[in-house]
Amino acid sequence: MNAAGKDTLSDRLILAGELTIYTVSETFKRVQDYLNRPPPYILDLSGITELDGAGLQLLLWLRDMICARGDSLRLAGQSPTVSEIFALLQLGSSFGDSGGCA
Amino acid sequence: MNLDSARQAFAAEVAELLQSMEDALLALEQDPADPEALNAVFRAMHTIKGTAGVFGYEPIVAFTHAVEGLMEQVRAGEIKLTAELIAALLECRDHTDRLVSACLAADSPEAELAPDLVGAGAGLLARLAQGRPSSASSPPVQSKHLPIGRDLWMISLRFTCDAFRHGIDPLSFLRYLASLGELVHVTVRLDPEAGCTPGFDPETCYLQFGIGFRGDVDKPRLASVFEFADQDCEIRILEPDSAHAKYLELLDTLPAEQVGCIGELLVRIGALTQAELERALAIQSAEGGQRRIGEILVDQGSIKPAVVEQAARVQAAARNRVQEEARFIRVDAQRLGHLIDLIGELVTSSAAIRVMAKRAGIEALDEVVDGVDYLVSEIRDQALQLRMVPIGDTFSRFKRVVRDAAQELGKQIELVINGAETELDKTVVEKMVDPLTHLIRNAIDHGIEPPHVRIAQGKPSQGTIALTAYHDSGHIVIEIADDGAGLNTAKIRAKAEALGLVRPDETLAREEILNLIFVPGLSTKEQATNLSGRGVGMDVVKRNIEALRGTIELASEPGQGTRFTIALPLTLAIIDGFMVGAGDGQYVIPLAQVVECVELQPEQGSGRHGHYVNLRGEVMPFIRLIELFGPGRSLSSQRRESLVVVRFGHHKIALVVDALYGELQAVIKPLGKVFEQLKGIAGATILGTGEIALILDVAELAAIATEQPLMTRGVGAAV
Repeated sequence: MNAAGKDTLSDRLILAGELTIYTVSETFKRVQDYLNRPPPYILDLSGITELDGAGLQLLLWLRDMICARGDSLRLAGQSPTVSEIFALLQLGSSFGDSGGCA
Repeated sequence: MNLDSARQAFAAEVAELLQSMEDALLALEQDPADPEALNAVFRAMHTIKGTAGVFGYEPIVAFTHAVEGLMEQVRAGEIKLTAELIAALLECRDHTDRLVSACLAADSPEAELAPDLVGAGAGLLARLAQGRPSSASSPPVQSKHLPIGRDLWMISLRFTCDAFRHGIDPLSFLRYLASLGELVHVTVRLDPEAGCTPGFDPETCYLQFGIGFRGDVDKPRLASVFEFADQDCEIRILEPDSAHAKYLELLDTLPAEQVGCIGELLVRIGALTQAELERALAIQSAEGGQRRIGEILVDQGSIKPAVVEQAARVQAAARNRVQEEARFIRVDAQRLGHLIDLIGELVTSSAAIRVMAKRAGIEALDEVVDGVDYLVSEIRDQALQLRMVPIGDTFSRFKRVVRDAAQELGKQIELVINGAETELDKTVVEKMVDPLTHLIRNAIDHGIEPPHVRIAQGKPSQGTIALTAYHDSGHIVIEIADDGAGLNTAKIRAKAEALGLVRPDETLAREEILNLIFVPGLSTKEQATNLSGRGVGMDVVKRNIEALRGTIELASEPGQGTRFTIALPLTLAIIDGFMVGAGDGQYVIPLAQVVECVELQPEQGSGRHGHYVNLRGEVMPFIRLIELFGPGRSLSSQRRESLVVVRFGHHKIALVVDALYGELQAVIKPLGKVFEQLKGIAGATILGTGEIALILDVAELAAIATEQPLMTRGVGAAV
């Protein structure tokens, strides 16, 4: 694992608050910008208070885009809301430490 | 319907069901997983239980219920169908038969059954219980450990682009689903067509879910979870295999009147939701109705092909049943017999009218008589047809005979049935059951060798008994052939000599020795077994067949097997005949056996000592009817004689007659006891003129003609 030591706060994409259909367009812009920078890609979801299908879809898209480049996405933190949904959808492993490219 | 006729109907229904159960069990011996056969056994028990319940026959209900329960477990795959279990089930079938007979014979439904019957039933149920897995008493191991997929509902959800905009949150459905049971596995992905493109729109929904769900729900319940998203989501729900089995069972037990369209059928049993059906129907009409609804449903992933197939079968069966119920009526055989008697009289009367019309010489009347004649012959044919039944029903009961007997003797025997659809008068069929049973038991017992003997002789260890039926010139021919040891002529001869039937110095052809087995009191097996009796059989068989105006022939090669060929007239009552005259007498030959009529050249018939005639290169024996039946009258050599060639099986003989009168319908009247010994005569018929004509028995004539050198000429002297 290269990540643990090297990554700095600026490598992280920190999403917080509400990630739903109401905010997803805004967040999408941030995610696109984030994708324009070089790896590593680290996603911090510890501040998420609400997540719906649209939000989840954006996360999946982000993962898929990174995977498509041959890079990996690491999940640095997740709030209980996120954990609950990941557990429901059995997503834990594909968003896990290893980056989870399917 | 009074109670008696209801009981009779019950008895008839039980007989049919038990027969189909037996057939199914025998099929299961070959293929223990045959789902149709399993269903047939289950259905037989189930239906008998139901009907017996209506009559209040508690012992039948209790017994069939137990067997039905077992079959249910077998169908669900909880119990393996072993050979022992099938054997026990066959005995259960027999026991049910006995129970039904006992209950029907009893005065009231509450009457006590014979204790041995009760004991036998209990014993059988105990045997069935042994077949159950030991876990049957303890609660079965729960489905947690079943392989994944077997008990899982497979749900696939594809949301449409606008789902989010319509306020749908896919996650909420999954949460709700999770509250109904367990999401065993979930995969979520974005539509691969759209998800990874740069043109990704976060507000458009690309989500797709695949879910393996386990829970105590039915399909409509699951569908209702997603009802709200119906417009925004393509939903496919595939039932688990366990539900699948339940559907198949529901399909089976659905009353016929509830079977409608296949789609409705599937919705009714809960295998399909109304929405799925409507979608499929929409597709069907969009395509212009080219595909069947079942096909679309399978394509659409709404249902598994097996369920559709079963539904289609149930639908077809229900249609057939409804049609059959409308097509068939049960008629008292006596009434039918009476009808045929009356038609016989009608035939005779119409012949009388013809004679009167001729005498009156009115041309217009002749035409009317022709019309009536035609109608009478049609009516006769139709009426006789009413009594015709395929012989296959009789044949198939021998499967059981062969199976049981072969097991008892430790032999391997296969029964091959050919020509089961051949039709025969029901009264004849019934009278053939005993002779056929005897011949088949003989073949099993004496014919087919034990496996080790067969292998030593280079034959396959499994012996074959072939039962064949076909029509041949107004007769039905039934063959019973085995590939066993063949008859031992030396032993037969020794036995015959010991009984004083044959003198030791007498020379007999092989065929003649073989035919000795039809002589009373001759059995070739030193040790009589309980299977094929004690040598009282073959003469009785022959007598029974002859009583039906039939014949039995036998061919046997050592080591190759034995073949019995039985020929029976199609019907016992009325025949199409060809009338000839010889001297003062008039004779009727069954038309089907007449090959041709030719003029007899004087030089051909002159050879009075050689009884053979050469007809276009074919040599055949001939009989002068006048010599056979009217020796008192001197032969007038100046008379022109004709030759009627008749055929019986592979025998062809010629009959020399004085006059050819043409075709007629002949009602066969049996001759009295006085004339029973008369050879070559099958009966008599009354002519239109009121005179009597004798009906010739071609088979016997053939025998007389071929045996002529040995025959004593006084046989026919009585007439």
